[in-house]
Amino acid sequence: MSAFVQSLIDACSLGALYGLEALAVGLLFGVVRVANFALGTVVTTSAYALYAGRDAGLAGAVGLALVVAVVLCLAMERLVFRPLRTAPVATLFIASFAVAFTLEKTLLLAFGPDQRSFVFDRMPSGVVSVGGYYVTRLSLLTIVLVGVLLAALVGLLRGTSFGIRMRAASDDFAMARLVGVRANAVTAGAFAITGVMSVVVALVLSAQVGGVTPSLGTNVIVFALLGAVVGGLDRLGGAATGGFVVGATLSLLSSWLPDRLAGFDVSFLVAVVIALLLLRPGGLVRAGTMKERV
Amino acid sequence: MPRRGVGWAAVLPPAVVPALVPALLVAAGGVLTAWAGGATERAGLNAVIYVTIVVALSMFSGTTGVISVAHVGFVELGAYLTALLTMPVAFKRQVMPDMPAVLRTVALPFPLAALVAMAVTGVVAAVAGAFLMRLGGLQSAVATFSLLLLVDSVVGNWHSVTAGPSPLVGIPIHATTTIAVAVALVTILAASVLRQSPLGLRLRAGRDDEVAATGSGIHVVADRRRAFVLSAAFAALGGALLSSTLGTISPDGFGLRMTVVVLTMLVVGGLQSLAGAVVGTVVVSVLTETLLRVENGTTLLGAHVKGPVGLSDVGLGLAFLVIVLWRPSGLTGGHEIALPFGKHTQQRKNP
Repeated sequence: MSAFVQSLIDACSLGALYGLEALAVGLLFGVVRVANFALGTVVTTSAYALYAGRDAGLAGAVGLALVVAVVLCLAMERLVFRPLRTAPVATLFIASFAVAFTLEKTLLLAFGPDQRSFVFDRMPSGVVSVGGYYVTRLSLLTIVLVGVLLAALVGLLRGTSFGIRMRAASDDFAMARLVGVRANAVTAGAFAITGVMSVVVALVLSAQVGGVTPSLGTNVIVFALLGAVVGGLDRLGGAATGGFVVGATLSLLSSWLPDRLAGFDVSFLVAVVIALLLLRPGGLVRAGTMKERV
Repeated sequence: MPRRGVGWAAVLPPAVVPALVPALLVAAGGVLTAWAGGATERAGLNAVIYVTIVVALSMFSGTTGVISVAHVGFVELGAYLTALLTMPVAFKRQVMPDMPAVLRTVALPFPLAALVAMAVTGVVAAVAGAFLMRLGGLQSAVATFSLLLLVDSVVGNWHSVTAGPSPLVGIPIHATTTIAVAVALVTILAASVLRQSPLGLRLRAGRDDEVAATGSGIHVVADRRRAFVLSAAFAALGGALLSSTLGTISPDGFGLRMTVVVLTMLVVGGLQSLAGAVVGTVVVSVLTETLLRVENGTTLLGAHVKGPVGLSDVGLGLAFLVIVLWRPSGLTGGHEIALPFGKHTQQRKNP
């Protein structure tokens, strides 16, 4: 029993991290219809920025990473996704694939394949014992960070003028433009927010791994993307839930699969994802907006 | 009355005409690189195999307009099946004793093994396609991507059969450049015939306007499933060529990387035409091979140049982005290429 509860706790922490990345995917898709596979490389790039700023302390490194990630996301928007605004969703997805590939190989070119190790003293480490179960302080921090970011994002979207414009653009881009929403600013804003979220993911992920490699963010984005699509890209809650479910399932599978099947956790997870896509193509949490009819 | 073209192309059945220029290009490329020998021959062979793979993908994506991210999974299936079926029984018994008896006790000649690989992959695609073809847009892209991940993770973890993540070695080498060129030509011909067939016309109608096609009584989903199966089988044939020329395969060689390569080739040439698939493959192969040589150090225009490792991959990604941004219909613009001499059968002169 205790092993089971322990595995649930581990599942929650991995789920929270993937949920956060899925939230970023969902936010961007909601506003600009881009399922951005390149967010994974934004995470990796942020982690390299943390590495570059490691001597400036945690705050300095995070500051540097925020600048790098936001600039990278804005550049991506301006150079690739804004010119492609009218392209079909699947084309955008493939284009983001190419962006991710190019960026990852550029990082490989610049930093080489070996892990660059770094640890921040002020990042939480070790475990705390809660009622006989062990939780790493890092997982607690992850869950808290995800909660805070989710609340901040909901506050931004519901409470501020920028958020309302963003939701308007997400509902009907052309109409929002007609009533005076500055579409380019809203789009760029959404990209910038995903940059900030990527820094948080990078911070947690690099602390887990103890450093950064050029493929650090790839796994996260693969599962966050699957989670976001399964959960439903039209609602932030759906995307985040999907990401959480996928991350948690992956963690549970890797603890509970029998030895004979160890290693097949991804296979089972992907099979479930395909099944869910077929059963509920609109996502687990469906949006109220009406589908366009012809 | 319009006069029918009198060029020699007019004597050919219309279904093979679009295949002419791509076929000539591949044949010429194969002969030239084989004549150059050495590293150039290997690069040429690689490009010819990619022609088979990319044309196979275009049988589905080019005719339906639906981008499939799953096809590298089919290539991987074809490569592994062919490898396992052609390996000598004694070798398998010694190296992989835990393999299921069906695979361990048979060793087939290469052509037969490739056909079995095509058939098995076709069945997998038929089963998957029954579900996948109902999805559209992003769901379809993500579902095919999931299928790729599924194949990749099964191959990468089934230690007793595929050697897991480590390379599968000792695959008998049967395919030569000649065989690879012949297979590529057959694939191009098949793709051309598919395009001009009633099925191909229905698929292209569904691509250009799904609603109107459905309204005209075309069962778009069922037709797309047929194209998916056919194209998966040819992708497996490309995989069969890969394993039978390389002698060693590992899951790393497939997966996301090869997917980016194959999609870049298709998009650079032009998604909608057969000529696009072939031209894209040739252009991208030349580009990456050149960059790869710069990476390894080479003499270019009298000066010795040596670039950083990873240059060819960055070039590949940039090529994709440049084309998508500035020429989204690809180098061929989605058109077929007519022969420069003779008259095209479909062009009629005004009286």
